[in-house]
Amino acid sequence: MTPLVHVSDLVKNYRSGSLDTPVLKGIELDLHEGEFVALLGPSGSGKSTLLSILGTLLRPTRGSIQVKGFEVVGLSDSELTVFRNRYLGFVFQFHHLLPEFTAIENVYFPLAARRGWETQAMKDRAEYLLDRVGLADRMHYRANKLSGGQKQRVAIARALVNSPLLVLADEPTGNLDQETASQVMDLLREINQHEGTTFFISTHDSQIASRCDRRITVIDGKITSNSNVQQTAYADNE
Amino acid sequence: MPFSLKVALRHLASSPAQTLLLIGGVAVSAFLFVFIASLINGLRDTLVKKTIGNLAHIVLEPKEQTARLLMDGMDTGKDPLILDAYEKANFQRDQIRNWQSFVEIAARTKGVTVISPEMVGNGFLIRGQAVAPVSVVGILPERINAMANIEANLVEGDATLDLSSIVLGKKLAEKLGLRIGQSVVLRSDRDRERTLLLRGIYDVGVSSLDERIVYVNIRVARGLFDLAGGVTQIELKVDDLFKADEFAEELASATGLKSTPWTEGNKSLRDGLNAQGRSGMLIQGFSLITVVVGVASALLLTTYRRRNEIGIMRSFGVSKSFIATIFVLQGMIVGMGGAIVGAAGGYQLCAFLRDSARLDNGDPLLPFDPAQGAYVEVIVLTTIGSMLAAIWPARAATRVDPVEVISQ
Repeated sequence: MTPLVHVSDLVKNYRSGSLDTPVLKGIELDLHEGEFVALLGPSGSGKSTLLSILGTLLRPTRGSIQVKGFEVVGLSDSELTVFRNRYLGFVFQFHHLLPEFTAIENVYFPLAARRGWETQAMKDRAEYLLDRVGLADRMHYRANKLSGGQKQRVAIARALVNSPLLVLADEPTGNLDQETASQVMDLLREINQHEGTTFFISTHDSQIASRCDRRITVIDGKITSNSNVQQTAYADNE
Repeated sequence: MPFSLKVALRHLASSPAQTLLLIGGVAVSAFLFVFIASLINGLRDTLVKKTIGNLAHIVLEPKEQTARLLMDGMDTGKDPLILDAYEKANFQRDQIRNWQSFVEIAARTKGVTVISPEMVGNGFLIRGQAVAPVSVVGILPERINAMANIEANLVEGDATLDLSSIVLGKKLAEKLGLRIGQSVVLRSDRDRERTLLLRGIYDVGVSSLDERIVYVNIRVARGLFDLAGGVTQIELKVDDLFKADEFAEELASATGLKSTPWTEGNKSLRDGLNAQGRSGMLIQGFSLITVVVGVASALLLTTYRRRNEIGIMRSFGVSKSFIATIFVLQGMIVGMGGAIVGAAGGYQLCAFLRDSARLDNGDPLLPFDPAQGAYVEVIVLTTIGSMLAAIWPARAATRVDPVEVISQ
């Protein structure tokens, strides 16, 4: 079975003057459709860099990333922009909503920016997602009028608006209290189970990681463990 | 509405104070632009009206005849220039014989508003021992107001030109001690003379007219200058005297006559007006530069303020061109808004200044012409300038690194 994402020999070095600092050292990784995967590791281990490279925001020094068998490393900047807009979703530690826009506008922003116009179909999709994340009554609130948890829910809805193949979440609960963090994780899990969206979640919280199907640990730029939390159909990958 | 325009408007509306300040800055520049245009164009028109208003915009005359070489002075040992002069003096005197057909051509020319065929020559006005050199203008009686509005400027008598009447300027009348109804002898340079009765005295305020020009019936002038039937020149006015050169060229080719625009005889005035116009353009250019610098710096600051949002937009696949468009549209909105506000303010102030004080003759004390404020130019140029100014910040915005923003 072809994995959704196949990463092989991924290397990233940061150059500082004449010195190359290796951050990722030959990452090999597969993510399958519908998986809910945690990426663990201490600060500075390379988690965020790996997530940025998978999100095509950063180019690797070497290696290959295939999404559904299609190589994305060699694409141009504008092609990568389109790729992100169509196939990826991002959830960050900080919601990063656009403060002048309402919740619903924030959600359909990626679609409207690509099309150049707002359409009713986009609004319907955004309404549906806001309803799914429990914010049906906050659709027309400005982003800066929402609570932290509500903002993160809007950010999740925005990440899902384009029906992405893969959602990359970088510490999505890192800025939330425990109760809200739990609610957000419940929501991500529910979306994963009901809609089959693949999630790759960077976290250093083992409790969060324990709610995922699989845990991948990165230490010093290398994957040191890749294990299933529960018995899943992907056991043969390990 | 394009989504980029909605985003641009939302960004501008999010910082009303900054946006109003920015629009205000652009408005001041546009205001200055309109103020200068209105003043310089008004001043130009006033100057031209004062100096050219009572004169012909174009004069049609017979072409100067070229002397033919009857004898080669070099061969005979005589100076060939003397031959020229001798021969020119023997030419038939310059006049337009079939002037009616040229009047028709001029009347058919679009933009020609006034036509006055005239018999013009030099002479002397004699009263007793007092003699004054004058320019005699023989005109069709019904066209006495064609060039200078003589009737409107009459200080005594009337301007009816029958075969025994003469109308002249106040200064000339004072010089000769003439009063209405008194007789005066007009002797032409052809040494013919006629006694005429002073019918009217005018004062148009232009020395060259008031001291020198006398008006008589064209038939009287023909007799005095011994040129029966023809006219010596046809004077014209056009609807746009600043296009007199183009009209003159068109009429010259249509009639075959010598066609002289007012600009030829008033070169220093024209040069002065041109220099004034260039100075105005310089000031207007500086005001536009101010717009560009102001808008560019303000939007550049916005780029830095919105780095996070731009980075996030880039992360979810918003194209660089969309982000650049947002900034260029902001420049356009600020430029157009500021230009409209500034132009409206400029119009109001110029109209107020024009109407605030007037001279005795009803002319404004301050020669503003709000109708010539170059409003379309200022709005178009300011909008384009602001859009160009936004390109730099727009390019800076597209260079924001989303990874850097996210990691912060």
